[in-house]
Amino acid sequence: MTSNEEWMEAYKSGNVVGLENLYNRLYEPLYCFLFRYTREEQLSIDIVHDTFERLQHIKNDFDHHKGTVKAFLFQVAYRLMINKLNRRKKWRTLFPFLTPTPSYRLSSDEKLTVQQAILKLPDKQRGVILLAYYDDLPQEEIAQILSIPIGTVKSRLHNAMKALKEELKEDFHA
Amino acid sequence: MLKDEFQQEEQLKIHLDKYEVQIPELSYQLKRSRWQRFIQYLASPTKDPLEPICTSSVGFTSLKVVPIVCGIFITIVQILIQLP
Repeated sequence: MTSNEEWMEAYKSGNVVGLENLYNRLYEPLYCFLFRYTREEQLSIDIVHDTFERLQHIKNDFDHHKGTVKAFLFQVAYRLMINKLNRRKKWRTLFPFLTPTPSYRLSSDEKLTVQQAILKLPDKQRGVILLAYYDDLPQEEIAQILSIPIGTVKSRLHNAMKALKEELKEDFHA
Repeated sequence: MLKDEFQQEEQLKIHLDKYEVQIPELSYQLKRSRWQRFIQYLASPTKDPLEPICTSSVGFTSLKVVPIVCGIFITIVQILIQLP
């Protein structure tokens, strides 16, 4: 089976099928990460597409010696997401009365509790726990995606787990 | 793998596993244009900036009186400007 890195190399040398395969393989994990981080469907879809559009411009920046395609794409997506969220925060500070009311999808109580607990985590911790647990990425790749030192990844993960346990404390005993 | 860190946390794992995401059919058509985003932004419900004023009777009355006072004030200013 052809690996993501091989498809990326194929795409870099002009084979568009490479990009198609990368999209089919990676849009799901990418969307899940973005959705769990933001809880906004449309924003997540937009960022997935922006990421693949950006990939077309910076495909030559990818070097398989430095990391995997997944980590490379997640890094691009994470930066785009942070930029969008920061820009939005600025606008909302300037015009607080224009802030749309959030329309989160309601789901089962249990699921909602975990969703809320994750959403309540500080941004820096949320990214680490999502990438470590749901995407099962190694420490080095998480550090690369979030642009933080490797040591910080572990400490943030521990803090995030502690905060989550604290938040879900009541459900643990239920 | 960092996921090994969760081996000791059975309860936490159970909770985290329940968080599944429904993935929409992604296609390039789904991406909205700038114009569509702008229209959606305009159409999305927002908080009423005058809500705290409208909820109290004093605020509600002042909301009706203030434009009248402003109107009178502007009229007086214009009359004074016209005076030789």
